[in-house]
Amino acid sequence: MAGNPYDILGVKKDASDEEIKSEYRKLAKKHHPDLNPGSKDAAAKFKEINAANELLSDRAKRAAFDRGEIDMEGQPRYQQQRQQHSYRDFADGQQGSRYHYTASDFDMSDLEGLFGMFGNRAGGREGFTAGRRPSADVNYVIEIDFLEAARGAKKRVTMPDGKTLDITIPEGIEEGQKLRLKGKGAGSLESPGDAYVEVHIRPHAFFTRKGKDVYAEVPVALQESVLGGRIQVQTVHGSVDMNLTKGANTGVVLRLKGKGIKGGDQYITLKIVLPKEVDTELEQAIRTWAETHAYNPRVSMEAVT
Amino acid sequence: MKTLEEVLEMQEVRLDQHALEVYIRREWVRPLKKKSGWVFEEIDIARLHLISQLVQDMQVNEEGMEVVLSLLDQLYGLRAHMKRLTHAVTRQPPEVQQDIIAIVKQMTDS
Repeated sequence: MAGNPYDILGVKKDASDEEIKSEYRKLAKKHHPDLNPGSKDAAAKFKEINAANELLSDRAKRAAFDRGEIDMEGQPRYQQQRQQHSYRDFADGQQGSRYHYTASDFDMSDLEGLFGMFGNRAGGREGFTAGRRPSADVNYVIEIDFLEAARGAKKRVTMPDGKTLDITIPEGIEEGQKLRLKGKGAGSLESPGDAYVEVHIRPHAFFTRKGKDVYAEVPVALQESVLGGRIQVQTVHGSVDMNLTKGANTGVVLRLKGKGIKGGDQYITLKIVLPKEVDTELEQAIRTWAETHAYNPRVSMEAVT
Repeated sequence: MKTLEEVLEMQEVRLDQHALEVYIRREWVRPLKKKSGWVFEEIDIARLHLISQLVQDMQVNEEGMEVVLSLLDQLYGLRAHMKRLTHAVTRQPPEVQQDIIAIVKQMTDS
């Protein structure tokens, strides 16, 4: 192992045995891997501290190091044995349940607390959370259907702690919007705190939206497009009848006023769809028609290349 | 699997018989009791090793040891439960996993 044992223990070159011992103890308590099972660095750090202590607490080795005769290698006896019998390895393994304190009587209502404990760590000093009063506010995320968001809805959801929460989704709620449920937090009866529910909207198979306006592509039959007439179109509020003018082409955008969300509009884009099978009758009709009506819809495209 | 005598012979444990019997009586370590005497599994030996480090290297005294071991058992109990939870989460559909991650992340940030 490379490195300077004095630096590792944080002591001066002329530190007394007592000082070295005292610093070593402080660091060993802090970095012992079995006491820091969540830390990846603890084991390496602890090993280093032990190697430094091993060297500096041995008069002869320390003197040799000071004279520059040896560097900081030679694993202390301690290390190799630790490898075989790290308590952490067993406590985290199958046998561990023999000593686990909470294994059998774990209450599922603690679930929220379990996740919540990570919340405390983010703000405060690491490993020093006891004095900090956790916020009584809680945050949830729910996912709702496109139509529920468009029309508004009442949802009853079960939260991670098993409690149910009735949520009124207001008409026209936006993706990512947060709802505040006053007094529904995780605090005490006197100061319950609030629940914040972040709402995510699942995409719809046919509709998309921009604010209050709804967009949809509407397939129309060949004859509907050519001849015009009444067709039925779905909106977020149900189906409506509308008039297609003669010759309404693919790509034509029509507005259904007030049929969007909360007074917004619905825009539909027409798309001509041929019948599944082109039979001889249709083929013959088009053939006859085409003989005298040749047209090229790609003229504008050819112009730019 | 080791007997009490075999454990005492292990250098790394650094214990005399009296101390070991006291630890067992206080239930700091809980070997299995068989007709032939105490039987120590690997976890018991590792735990003894940890206890002797706490006593000898870190100067944790008797009263402190009760607290340290109690907190330690709670810590590893929680870790085991956390592991089971994590496993359960990984068995959920991806959307549910995303939701759970989002909630945990939110609680972490708030």
